[in-house]
Formats: sequence, C-alpha cells, structure tokens
Amino acid sequence: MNVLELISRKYVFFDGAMGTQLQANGLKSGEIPEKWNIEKPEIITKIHKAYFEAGANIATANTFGANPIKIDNIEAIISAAILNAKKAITNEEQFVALDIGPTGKLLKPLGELDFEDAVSAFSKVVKAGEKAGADLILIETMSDPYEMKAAVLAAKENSNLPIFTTFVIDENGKTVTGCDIPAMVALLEGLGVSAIGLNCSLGAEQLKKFVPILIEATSLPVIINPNAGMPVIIDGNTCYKDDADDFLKNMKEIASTGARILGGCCGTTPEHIKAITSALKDSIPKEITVKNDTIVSSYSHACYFNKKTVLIGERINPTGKPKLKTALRENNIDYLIKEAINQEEKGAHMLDVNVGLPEIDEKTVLCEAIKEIQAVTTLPLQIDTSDPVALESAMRIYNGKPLVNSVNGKKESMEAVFPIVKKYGGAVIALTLDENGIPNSARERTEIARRIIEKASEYGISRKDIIVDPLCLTVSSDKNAPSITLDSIEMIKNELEVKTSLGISNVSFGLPNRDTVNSVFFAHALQKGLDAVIMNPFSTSMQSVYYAHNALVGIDESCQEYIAYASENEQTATTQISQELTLERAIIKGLKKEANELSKLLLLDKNPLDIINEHIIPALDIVGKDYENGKVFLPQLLMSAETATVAFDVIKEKIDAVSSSSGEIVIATVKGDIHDIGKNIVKVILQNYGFTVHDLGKDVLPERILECAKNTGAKMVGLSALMTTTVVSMEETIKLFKKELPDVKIVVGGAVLTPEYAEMIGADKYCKDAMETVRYAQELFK
Amino acid sequence: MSEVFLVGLNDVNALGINKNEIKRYLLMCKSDTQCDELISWGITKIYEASKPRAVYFEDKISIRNDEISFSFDTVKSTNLSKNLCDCDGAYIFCATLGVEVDRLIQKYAKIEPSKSVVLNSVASALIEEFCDYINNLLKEKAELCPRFSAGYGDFSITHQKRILDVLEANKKLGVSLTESYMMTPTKTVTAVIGIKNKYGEIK
Repeated sequence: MNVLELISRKYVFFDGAMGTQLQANGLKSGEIPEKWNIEKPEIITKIHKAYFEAGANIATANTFGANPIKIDNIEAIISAAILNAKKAITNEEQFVALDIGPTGKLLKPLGELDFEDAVSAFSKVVKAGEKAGADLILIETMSDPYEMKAAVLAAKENSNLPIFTTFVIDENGKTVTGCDIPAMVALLEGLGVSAIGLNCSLGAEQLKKFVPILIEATSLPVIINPNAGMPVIIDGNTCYKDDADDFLKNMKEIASTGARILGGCCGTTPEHIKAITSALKDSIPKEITVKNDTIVSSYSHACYFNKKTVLIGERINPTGKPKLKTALRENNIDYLIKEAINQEEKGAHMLDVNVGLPEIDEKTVLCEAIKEIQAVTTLPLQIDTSDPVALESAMRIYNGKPLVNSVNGKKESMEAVFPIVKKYGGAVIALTLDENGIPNSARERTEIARRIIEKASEYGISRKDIIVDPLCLTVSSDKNAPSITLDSIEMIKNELEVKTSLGISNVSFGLPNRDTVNSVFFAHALQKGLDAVIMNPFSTSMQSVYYAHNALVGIDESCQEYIAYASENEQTATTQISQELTLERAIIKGLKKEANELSKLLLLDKNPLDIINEHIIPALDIVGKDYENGKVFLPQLLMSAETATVAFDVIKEKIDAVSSSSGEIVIATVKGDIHDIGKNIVKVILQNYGFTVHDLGKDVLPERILECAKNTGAKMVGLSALMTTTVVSMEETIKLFKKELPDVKIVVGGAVLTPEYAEMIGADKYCKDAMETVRYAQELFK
Repeated sequence: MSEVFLVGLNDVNALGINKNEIKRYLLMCKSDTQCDELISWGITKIYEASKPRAVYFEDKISIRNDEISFSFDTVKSTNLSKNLCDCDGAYIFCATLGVEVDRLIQKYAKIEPSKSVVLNSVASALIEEFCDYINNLLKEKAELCPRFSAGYGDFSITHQKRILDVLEANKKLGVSLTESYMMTPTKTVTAVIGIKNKYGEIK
C-alpha cells in the first residue's frame, strides 16, 4: 500500500503539532527542536506513537527546521528523525513524511537568498530524507511561491517520492508575499506535485472559507492542516484557542467541502487528531473533479484563458525595434523593465519576453531579464525563445507557471521543448508548422495541431496546457492567407478543444497603415473565438476593438470596462502646451510630456547638440544649484533629472552619438546591503551630467565590482552602504581596489558614513549627496 | 513567557500619517506644492500596498549591572538598562508593512526614482505610525516606556536574531534577517517596550 493509493480511497490523516508536544516534554525556548532527534529519540518516537494511536496515517518527522541554512549536521539529524518516526509505525496504513519548512530567508531580488542556493539547500535535505527511508515529502508552511518552487524542484531532482505541499495564507486569502490560491495551484500543478493544501497561520474557523476556493482551483487531493487557532487580535477583536470540539466542528465542514487529507498544525494535540479521525474514518470523501482550465501564473495571480481574450504585450522583442536592440547590446535591462511596466499600465494581461539577438548570450540575458521583470510586474510572462538551453534556464528561475513561446510540429522541436515544459510546468504555444513548412489549408494546420497535442500527451502534458497558434501570413502576398488562419482557429477549437493564440501583426506586413489592417483582422479572429493575442498594447485601435468586442458579445457587464477604457483614452489624447513654456522651464518643473513635445519642436530648426548645450544643461545647472541652496528638494531634483532624460531620448533619435560620454563610473551597493535608494539617486543624476554609469545593483561582491571596473576602464567607483554592519564590506572592497587598481578613485556614501569614517576605511572621497558626487566626478574627469 | 499575539490591520486607513515626518525624511525644510502633490500620491500608493502585521508577547525581565535578562536572551546595554529603568516586564514586538511595499519602491526606482524616494519616505513614516498604533493598544493595559530597538545606542543589533526567532516572525509575518542583520521586508521594526512595575517586583 502506498500513501497515494490510500488517498484515492478514503480520508487520510496527518498528525498534529510537534513543537507543542516537545515543549510539554521540556523543550526550552531557544533550544533547537531537531536536535532532540539525536539527543532524546525516545521522546520523539513517543510523540509519533501518540499521533498514530489517535488515528493519524502520516507522521511528520521532526525535520521542519533541518535545513543547512539554519543548522549544521542535518544528515545525521534527518536520518535519526525518520528512524524515530518509523519506529512508531504499527500498520501498513501508516507513513512517514520528510518535513521541509522554509529556510527563513527571503529570496532575491527582495531578499538576499539566491534561488539556486535555496534549491541546493533543499536538495541536501531531500537526499538525506530519501536515504533514511521517508515515504513521502511534505513541503509546508511556505509563504513565498518562489521558495516553494525551489523546494519542489529539489524534491523532484533528488527523489521519486510523492511530494505534498502546503502553504500559509492570511485572512485575505493570500500569502504574505502576495500570492493568491489559484496562482499557487497553477505553479504546483505545473511542477507535478501529488497534493496541495493549506497549513498554519489561521485556525480551522478562519481557514474554512478558503477551502472551497482551493478545491475549485485544483484537480489534486487537498490537504488542510490548520492551527488550533492562536490568540490573535484582528482589528481589535481577540480570537482564542480551539479545543478538540471546536476543531472538529470546523474540520467536519472542511471535509464536507472536499478536502480529503486532514490534520493539524500549531497548537493541535493527539486529542484534536483523535476527534477528527474518530468522526471521519468511516466516511467516504467527496470525489475530486478534474479541472480543464488553461492557466498560467505570476508570483501574485493566475491568468485564465477563458471568456475574455488574453492580451499578450509584444513590446519586449527586438525584431524591428532598433532601440531595444541597442538596449540589449548594452545590457540595459532597465529599458526592458520600463517597457514591461508601460505595457502593464496599458492593460496587457501578460508580457512576451524575447531577447534573441545573434550577438548576445541569450541564456544569460533572458534569465536576467526574466528575474528583473518579474520583480516589478504582477503580470505572468511568456518566455519567447527558440534556444532550448535558454528556455530551460528561464523556466527554472521564473516565479510562477509561464507560457512558453513556442513549440511546433517538427520532431526536433517537440523533443527539445516538451521535456522542459513537463519538468518545470508551463503552458506552451504550438505553431502549426512542421518539416514541410506551413500548410496552406485549415485542415492540414489542424492535423499538425492534433499531432502536437498527441505528442505532448506522451510526455504527460495535458491538452489544456497547449495553446495552438495557427499562424498568420501576409495578406499582401497571399489574399487567402487571412481566411485560412480564421478557418483554422474555428476548426482547431471545434475539433481539438484547445485554446488558440495568434500574433496578429504579420498579416499587414508590407502595407501602409498597418494598425487598421491588424485591428480589423483582430476583430474577425475574436469573432472566431480567439483566446489570446500577441499585440502592441499601445495600439489604440487594437485596444478599441478588444473592448468594443467584449461589450458587444455580452462579456463586459453593463459595458463598464468599455466605458472606463474610452473615458481614460479621451483624457490622455493630447498634451496642451502653453506658448510661454520653454524646454528649460519644463525640465526645471519636471514636466515630462511637455519636455518631450518641446524637444521635438526645437529639433525642427536646431542642431541637436545645441539643444543639449543651450537648453538642457543650463536647466540642469539651475536645478542643481537650487537643490544645493535648499530652494528645491530631492524629489524635484530627481523629477528634473527624469525630465531631462526624456528630452535626451528624443534628441538621441536624431543622431546616434549625441555627445561622447563625460566618463565611465561604476556604482554599487556593497555586499550584504540590500538598501539601494541612495545609490539609485546618484546614478540618475550622474547620467544626467553625461557620465556613463555601470550600475551593479545591490548586495554586490567586491570581486564583481573590481571586474566591472577592469572591463570598463572606469576611473571612479561609487560605493553605498546603509549600516555599520555593511561598512565592513565597503572597507573590504576598497582594500581590494587599492591592491588591484590603486588609481581608481573610490567615492563612498550612505547613512552611517561621515568624512572621518570614509577616510578611516581608505576611501578617496565621501560625498554627502548626489550633487556632491557630480561635482567630484566633474573635477576628476576634467 | 506568555503567548504570542498577532495583530492584523485589515483597514490600513485606521492609521493616520504625519506629513511633516515624511518631509523630514525627504530633507524638506519647508512646504512646496509640487512635492506635496507627490507626497499625496505616494500616501495613496503606500496605503494600497501595505499589509500591516505585527506580533508581540509580554516577557518578564530583570536588570542587574546594565545586564537585562529576558526569558529568551540576555542583553548587556547601558542605554537599554536606562530605558527600562523601573521595569520588571517588557513587550517584545515586531511590526511590518509587508513585502509588497518593497516591491513598489523597487519598481519606481527603475522607472521614476523621484517617486521611489517619496514612496520610501512615506513607508518609513507609516511603519512608525503602525508601531504607535500598537503602542497605544498596549498602553491601555500598563504604564510603558518609549520603545527601544536593537541597533539603538549600545543595544547591539545582533540581538535582532533572538527577537525574531522568539516571535516566530518569519513564520507569522514573513520577516527574515540577512547576514548583515538587516530585516526583510525593509519596512519592519522590532522593539522592546518596558512595562513599569508590572509584577510588583520594583520596590
């Protein structure tokens, strides 16, 4: 008998709290509970026994905190813990779970723990647990989907045991990192775990309203292990601890909604478990229903492919975008981030990310782009690459269940893409082309789609995770091309029952006024039931078609979204510029739209360089001096800097190299420090004064800063540190520079620094703010 | 040690905000229309992103020769001993605005640093407001000293670890500590709040 078979037949019960029982047996505050596996094995076995006697089927080994990031000697501890639990087993319906809790660290980029370091820490735990003979792996109390993913990958890569996962939500139904239930389910089902559930944080009373949401979202058995309620105060109301009767009352309700694996977390005892096992052991749980929704997810929410067509922003793709190409060549990820945020603000539901250029290392750049973009947008991403190596790396570090763009009917493509999609869990766009090219009829395209779906199922990928793109060729070269595509959408949806997607803009290639052609074609495709479209979110006509269509087919209740869209569009139509406003004034006042328009006007009869020297630089000087004299403040200094950047960007379009750089500067927040506001301010202002700034970010190793300075030949390095604990790393970095690159000037800044302190750690200069840094740099590079 | 209480605040608007405090963080010595508009925008954004949560418990303490004994740790600090003068109990607490606030500040750092700076200042002011809110809840029960945090004066920041551990702040609030003793989410505060003569042991 294995545990999954048991679950398919009846209710299965987890044990209750370990910590509460250990404290009752004398564990002191501050003592490491996992050490008792070795020091007091008989007590641990006694506790497991009590839970088995109370009717539990699964003993959670005492390994919650046994993680190399938290404690040493984990192999011996885990081995002892599993053995202690196994000793308590008396029948074949009893199992031992290797218990894996969180590392206690927040993952990058908001925290300091690297994703791969988390995977490798969890891998050590899994290896030790499997070796010791655990029957299953329980990954529990997770509140960050990213850490959950690291733990599940470690489990998949190092064992074949069933993986059970539970996470923690608050009274709003989300994890503390802002992940909702459907998003966590999409991620975990994609990764192929065996059961999903909730534990800890709330009592059964508060948790029960979220159980139907979980049951509604998942096709897997659901686990519910609540606390025995803890003394909490919410908006001034105090809630108290549940006894076994209270616990039972709520757990029965939870069982009746469809959860079939039940147990307890903090504060629950053998009495709590006994109450639920006695009441439910002879009942038959509700059938699990299979859900067929096509879903992808981000760190925060799930995106469903149903009813309304999903708008996938196409702007992060270098094809035909010279500015993006330049940004990619210069490794200017900030440019991609801006594109991502702007598309989100324009109402895109997902974003395509494609960084494929022949001259860049696609794997590295794609991963960096995904990491940075997923940190600032809530939207799910579509990973767009033809390189399987880049695809695998990007899917691995993606925080959610991504959409993959794409696979096609070629044997080689399917064999490369499907194993990766299966391992990391994604949905995938399937293009209807094969070794013979793109066929010229809807029937043949449908057959290719059918073959792709069949092949996917051999890899264990369900048809709900295949989204077929029947491809759209250019109408100017073949008048029948659009109708073949439209017929294909219809046939594929009817015959294969899968979702469809289309990259629209190809249809108008070679024609004038492409936007109109695209939009009309989009309207036709919507009529055929197109489920997703890769499009430009800045296209007003595409957006208008989308909102109007939804209103007309009755999926926009009271036309609310259409009305909201239309009125917002009206407001942002034009920027009125008064006669008196000059570019200088616009920069001083931080008026970005106006600066954009005024720069264009000036370009009509002025040389670009003159505009910079006669308008932009003088304006920046005025703001800089006003800031130094206390007439304007930091937000205004920065707004002016941002506005000047807008003007620079307009002018750069006219000439490639507007002016040579004033000098190369490397800046970074030092190792161990995760506060980078100050450094970001310095960067913006330095850039405004024409310096080329290589920003290495925060928590940067001394060696990396040195390497960058060597590669760029920078004469100046700016270091930032917030606290005395991290000034140590600053000193370390300076020492390295003094040894390896003694001619490079090191400028330091940060909350705890003073000129004296800076001198003590060997810096060349302390600057109190961004303007002082500019002045120093100007002097240095003169 | 008494039980750990969790304080949640579903309606962030229950917290006021001190605009002068925000201006102080922005080093603004006087008002300015343009900055004031930005601050109002920042307040709306930060209120939307914040999920104020806190945990605390009441501990019995004793003090001898600048050494304070808690149930979970012993601290050598002249400044903290002075702060806890006449106290035989203390609330130990941790409060946070949650990680979405960090995400918001980071996002604007990439696209509009001016707004990022404002958001950062608003969030710093709001976490202080939230601490005051909890302080006020506790004040109803006993006479309290001003709150004092690890890292102030000679109260070493390394004690942060024991405080977060005993509160299970990671599990309950998602707060963790970096190797350099910085807390994430960044808008997080821990503190000790002395309770005057709680157990009648101060003569």
